[in-house]
Amino acid sequence: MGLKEKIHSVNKEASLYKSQGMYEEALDKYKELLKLVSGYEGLKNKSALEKQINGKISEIKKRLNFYENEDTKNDISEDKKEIIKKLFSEKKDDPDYKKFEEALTLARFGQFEDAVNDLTPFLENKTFRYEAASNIVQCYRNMEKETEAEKLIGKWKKDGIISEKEASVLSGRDEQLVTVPQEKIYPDDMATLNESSDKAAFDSDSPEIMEIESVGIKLTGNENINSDPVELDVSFQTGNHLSLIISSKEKNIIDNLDVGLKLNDMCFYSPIAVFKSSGIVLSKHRIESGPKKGDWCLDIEIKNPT
Amino acid sequence: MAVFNIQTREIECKIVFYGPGRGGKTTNLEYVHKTFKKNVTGDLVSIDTQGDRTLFFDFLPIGLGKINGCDVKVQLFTVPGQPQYASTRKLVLKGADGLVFVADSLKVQRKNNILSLQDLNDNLKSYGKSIFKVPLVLQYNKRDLEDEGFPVLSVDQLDKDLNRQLKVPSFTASAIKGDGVGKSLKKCLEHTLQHLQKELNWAGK
Repeated sequence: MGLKEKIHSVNKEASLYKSQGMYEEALDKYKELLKLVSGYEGLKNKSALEKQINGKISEIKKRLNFYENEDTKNDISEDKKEIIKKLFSEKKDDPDYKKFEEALTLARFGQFEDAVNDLTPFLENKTFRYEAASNIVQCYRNMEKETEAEKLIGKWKKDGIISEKEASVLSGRDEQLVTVPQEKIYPDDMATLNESSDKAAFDSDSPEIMEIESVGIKLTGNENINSDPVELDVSFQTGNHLSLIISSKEKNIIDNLDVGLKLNDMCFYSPIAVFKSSGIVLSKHRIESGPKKGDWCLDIEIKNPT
Repeated sequence: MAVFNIQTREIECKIVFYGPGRGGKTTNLEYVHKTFKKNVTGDLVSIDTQGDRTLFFDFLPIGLGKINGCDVKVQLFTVPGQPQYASTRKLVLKGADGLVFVADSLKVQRKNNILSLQDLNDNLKSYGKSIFKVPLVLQYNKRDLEDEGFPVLSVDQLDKDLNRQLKVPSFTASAIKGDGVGKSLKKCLEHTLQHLQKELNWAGK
C-alpha cells in the first residue's frame, strides 16, 4: 500500500472509531495519521491537513476529558428514578420495607441525595432507625462528605436516635460490628455503595496477587467457636478481591463474618505458596438462585500480603 | 429472576444484553423496538445516556404471547459496557434468566471482548451461577464493517477467543442493519424458556 492509500485508510478508520464513540481508538488513529501526513514530503495542502487533524485530536481529547471528569450519575429525571425503583427493588409486601428497599435501590444506582431524603423519615421508625442511619452515613461517605456524616452522627446521638455505642460504630471508631436480625440486613448495600471497591478491581496499578485456592480465617468474635482457623475455598478472584462461598449450614461462620470486619491472622493458600496477611469483609450476601441458592457469598479484600 | 404466576398462567423473564462498551447492545434493543412492534409492550427506556453511551441501562418490555397456554413476558435489558460502570453492570445482571453477549467484530475491540466475557463470568459467579449453565448466545456484531474494508476479526478468531470453552450458539450480526438481531434473540429466548421449563415447569403446570 502506497503512502497516499495508507493515509486514506487510516483516516477512514479514525473517522469510524470517532463516529462510534470509540474515542481512545480514534485518538490513536488520528495521531498515526498526523505522523503519516507530517512525513509525506511534497504533499499538497500539508499544513492545512495537519491543522485539521490537530483540530480533531484536540476535539477528541476534550470529549475524553469530559467523560472522565463529568459527574454523570446525579442527573436522572424523576420518572426515570421511579423506573429504577420499580425494576430493581426487591418485591416487599410491607409498605415500610418496600419504601426502604426503594431508597436503597436509588443508592445502589448512585442517587445518594435522593436515597438520603427517602431514608431520613425512617430514623423515627424503631424497626429501621439504625439501618437508616447506617445507610445515610454510607451515602454521605460515597458523596465524599465525611464531615457532614460525622455531624449527623453527633446530632442523632444527641437526639437519642442512636446510642453512644451505635454512634461509635457508625463513626468507624469501634471495630465491633453491628449485628441486626437477618431479615433487616441489606448486606450487599455496603458493597454496592462502595464504588471504590469496583474501581480497585480494575486498577491495573494494583499489586499483582497470586492465584489463591483457599483461605484460613481465625474467628475471634464468638467464644463458642472453635479457635482453630476455618478453611474456606475461593470461588473466584479478581486481583486482591476474593469471593468465598459459605454453606448455609455453617451458621456460626456466617454470623461472625459481618461486612467491615477486619480479619487479622489470615492464611492464604495458593498452588505455589502459603502466605499470611489480613483482610477485610467487603460484602456478604445470600445467593438467591442457582445450585448454591441459600448459601452465602462473602467478598474479602486482602490487605498487605506478606 | 423469572416470575411464574400459576394462577394467571403468566411467566416473566429477564434477558440481558452484555458486552464491551460501544459494541452495539443498545442498537440491538433499538432494532427490536423498531422492528418487532407486535411484541413490544412498552417504551424503550434508556437510563441514562451521556452522548450515546449507556450509563445505567436500557430497558424494553416485550411479550411473546401464549406459549403452551402461558402468557410469556420478557424484560430486555442492556448493561453499560465501560469498565468503570462495573457496579451498575452487576446490578443490572442480577436475576438474568438469559444472556446475549454482543461482541464487537472490530479488531481494536478484541481485548475488550475478552475482558467483558471474563467480567460476565465473574459477575455470574458472584450470584452463584455458572457461565456454562446459564442460557447464553454470542452475537458477533458489526460484520457489515468487513464489507467496507475495515479491520475486523474473523468469525473463526472470535470463536477461538470467546467460544472455545463455552460452545454456545453464535451468530454474526449487524445490529445497525438488523441482520442477526432477531436470530440471536430468538435463540436466547428458546434456551431461556427451555431452561426455565426445567426449573419451574411453567409450561407443564
